[in-house]
Amino acid sequence: MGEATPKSLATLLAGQDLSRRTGILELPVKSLGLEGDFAVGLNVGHGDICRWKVDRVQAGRTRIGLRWDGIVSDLESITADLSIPGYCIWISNVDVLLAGIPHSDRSRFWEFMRIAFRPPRGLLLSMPEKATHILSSEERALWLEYGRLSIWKSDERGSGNGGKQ
Amino acid sequence: MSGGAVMAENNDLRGVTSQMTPMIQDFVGTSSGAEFRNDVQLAQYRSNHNLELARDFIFTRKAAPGRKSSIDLLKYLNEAFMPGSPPNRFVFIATYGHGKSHFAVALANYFGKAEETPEFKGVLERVNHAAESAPLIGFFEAFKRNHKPFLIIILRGDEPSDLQTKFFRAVEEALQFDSLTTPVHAPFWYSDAQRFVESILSDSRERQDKANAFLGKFDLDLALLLERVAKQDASTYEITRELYLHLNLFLPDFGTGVGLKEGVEWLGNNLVGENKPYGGVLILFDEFSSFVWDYSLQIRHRPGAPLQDLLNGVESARGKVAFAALAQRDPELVAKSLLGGDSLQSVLTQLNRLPMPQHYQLHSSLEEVLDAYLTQDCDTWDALMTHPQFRNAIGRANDLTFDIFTSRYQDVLEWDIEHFQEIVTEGCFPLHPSTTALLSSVELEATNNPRSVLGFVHGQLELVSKKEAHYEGRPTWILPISLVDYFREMLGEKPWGDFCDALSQAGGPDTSQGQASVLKAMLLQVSGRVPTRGAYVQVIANFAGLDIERTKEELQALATSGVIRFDSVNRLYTFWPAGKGANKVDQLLSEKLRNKNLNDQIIDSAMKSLRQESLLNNISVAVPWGHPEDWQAEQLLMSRQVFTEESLQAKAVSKMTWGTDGIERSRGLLVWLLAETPEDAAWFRENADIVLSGAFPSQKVPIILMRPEAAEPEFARQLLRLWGLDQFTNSDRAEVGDQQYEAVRQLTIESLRSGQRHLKENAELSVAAPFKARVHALHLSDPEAAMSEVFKMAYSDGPMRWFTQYKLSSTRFRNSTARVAGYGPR
Repeated sequence: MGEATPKSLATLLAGQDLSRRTGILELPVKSLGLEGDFAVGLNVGHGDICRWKVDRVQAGRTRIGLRWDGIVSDLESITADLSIPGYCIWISNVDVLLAGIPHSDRSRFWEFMRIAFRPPRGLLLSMPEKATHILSSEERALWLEYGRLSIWKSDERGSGNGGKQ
Repeated sequence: MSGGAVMAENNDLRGVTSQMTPMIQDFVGTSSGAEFRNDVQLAQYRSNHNLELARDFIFTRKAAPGRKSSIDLLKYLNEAFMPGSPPNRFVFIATYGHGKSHFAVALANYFGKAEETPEFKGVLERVNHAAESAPLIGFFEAFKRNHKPFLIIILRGDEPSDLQTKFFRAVEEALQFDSLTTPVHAPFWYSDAQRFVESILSDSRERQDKANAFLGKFDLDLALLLERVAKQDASTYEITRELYLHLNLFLPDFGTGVGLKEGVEWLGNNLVGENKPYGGVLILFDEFSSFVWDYSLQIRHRPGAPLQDLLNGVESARGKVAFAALAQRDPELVAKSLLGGDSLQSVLTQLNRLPMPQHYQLHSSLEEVLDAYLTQDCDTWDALMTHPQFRNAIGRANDLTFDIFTSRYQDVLEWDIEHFQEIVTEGCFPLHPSTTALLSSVELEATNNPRSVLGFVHGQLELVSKKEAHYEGRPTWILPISLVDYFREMLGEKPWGDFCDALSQAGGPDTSQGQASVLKAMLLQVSGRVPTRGAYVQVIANFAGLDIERTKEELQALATSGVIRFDSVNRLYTFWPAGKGANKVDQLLSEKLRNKNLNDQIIDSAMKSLRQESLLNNISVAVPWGHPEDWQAEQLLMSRQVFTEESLQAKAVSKMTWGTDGIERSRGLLVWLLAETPEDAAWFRENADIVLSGAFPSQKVPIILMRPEAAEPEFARQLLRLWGLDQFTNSDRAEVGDQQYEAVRQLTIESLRSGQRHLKENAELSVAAPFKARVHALHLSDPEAAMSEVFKMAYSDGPMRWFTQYKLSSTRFRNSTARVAGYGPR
């Protein structure tokens, strides 16, 4: 299917066409951290998984216990959190968590997200461009092939007019 | 359909009130009920949507061959809890978008809710409506009367955890959910483990530090361990036991451990039966295909055989526990698509615990779902149906679709045509009835990118919503070919591949809209295995939204250029297998025909091939004095370049002058004049008689000219192609494919055959001056009848009648002649 625009991908994930409503949005490194602003333009909700995780770790804990299935469970919890609006939610910083688990588990995570995971709402995960150690080229190609990966252009504003229209 | 809305009216500028054609959005809407969302999940059984979902699942009793209706499957599950040893492990299979999860929600409510609850009553009402027969209704009601509510355990394949964690977590969720009405304490491992970890946390600091130091090697601390134990995370079972050993110097038994067989058996033995809280335990496994996919990939890294363990437990608890997996594809196929060798064998051994006879394909009546999803305003519809053209178009599409899909509707579902019209043609408008029928009968293959049926309807409805309900009486339909753009490879990997190849050969993005539509319609016919029963073109026209003549032309053009193949035996067209199209034949043929025109030599050569195909053979002419086969006229083709006085004379000499060489020749000529251009046709009209009389002034030469009224460039083109195809050498044929070559040649012959009929219908007969008066007087337009009269005049000094029943070459004729001459036997 090829590359989708950020807007069309967000619209696809917000709709009910897909049974697996998960997608990836690749961002230039300089745009990382601005996802919340961009999300407004795409008409999607936004959540930062690192902040969400930290907010829920009890004081005094010495371990965070990162596991691939735990990250999936956290993503499911965030998408089920109705305090975040939107038919589709853009979750940023998942790459930070993935960097903390073994390589083989990262593959498991992406495979599961692509084939099995059914979030209650559309789920858009942001990834830094060229982060092949987090999202392998082979896995990335599959997401791209199925039209579930979009690349955020550096001049994009999220209005839907930028990028590849 | 719903009533109430008023058709739009408009006062135009001249003050004349006229009714406007309503737009689709004015009278077609969609049901907003959650029951039609394509993301129904079994987990919603325990959500606020449950009652709504329970009431709205549409049960069906009839099913297509090889499938089971939802009523059948419900009955099998009921029987699993009856005396004897009925099967109690099932796989229910249906592709995405066919209501599998919604069915599972209905099952959960049927078994899990008490008889007096609105959820159960809602399901029962639907069941009774579909079951129809009193004994079947009585069976379901009696079952429910005799059983307490069940414990419903919901497992999910889209949850990232191992099977032990899934199972015990699901058990705990189920027991928690029922805890107000049915308080049960289950002695599973996590209860003891949780109590143990909590006890350390309330113990001395020193003991906590010792525990945390021990847990560090597992990247855990006490708080994290407690969190995971509380979520029934099976991976913490052994860690917790080892922590216990580390602190207390012996290994504990936490409840029943993590054994799934023991877990299931405990549920059956302790919770089900008289004086026990539940009437049974139903394990529903949603997204089972995803589970098998994950399970297969992890088979080498996982100790033991937990699926086998679970299913063994279910098997040993017959009559008390049943297991139903809901899958998009058969689980074995999923495993086979991922694994081989020992790993595959290991998974298959475990999956064998789900006996193959209990793998059922779920039938669903998508038509009824779509009918309920799409709501039309009755008043507007009635008003539209007063428009004769609209009504006729609706009627035609209704009848043709019912005919095409008669085996589904009449034979399997036992619908009559009125019911079909109500549900499909009217109830699913603006979907074309064939679109609905195809959607309901095509098995959409699951891919990583599955698209939903309702997603298609929703998207297409948006596209037409602002269009008028009809254009000049033709309804604004969502045509079947729209399915191709949306579902793409889900229509079947092979047909999709063949279609893409054909589309690319037809010109890719430059393919004309008509040809693209026809190719899409062909894909739907193949993918839906739609029987055409000799009406292939009508079926394709119906799917493509084109008229029959246009469809025929497009099919012929595609076949002629080698994009598709014509099957002359079955009178239908098929795709070439991807990568094996006949366009190579066309490419080589184009090379061979470069700078070639129809000349005498090419025409003669092509004529020989045509005669081998029984085309343009000699005509046997009925004459009073002899046998028709002795009095034959030869048929010839002559182009404008060839048609001269000299060539006509030469033909007459070579074809009709009997010499001493003993070769039999013809007695007359029927010449078909071939006009490649309108100028040629005009030239023939002006000059044919002049050339004829110039060639044979005042001679009675039996020649008839067939003069075209208009140009026949296609016939000329096909004739040239036939000649070109005959120039292919054996190595050429090997290069382009013998089968492909033969298909193109056969198609060319077929085109020439129908072209010859066309020539005959559109040609005017012309004879030499001496014959003109009689032929005109008798109003002869048929060349064979005219030739008979021409022969009578041309051969007026010919032989007397003599044994006209015999051919000259027959033995009887020779014997009779010899007898008369006195040479033969008396």
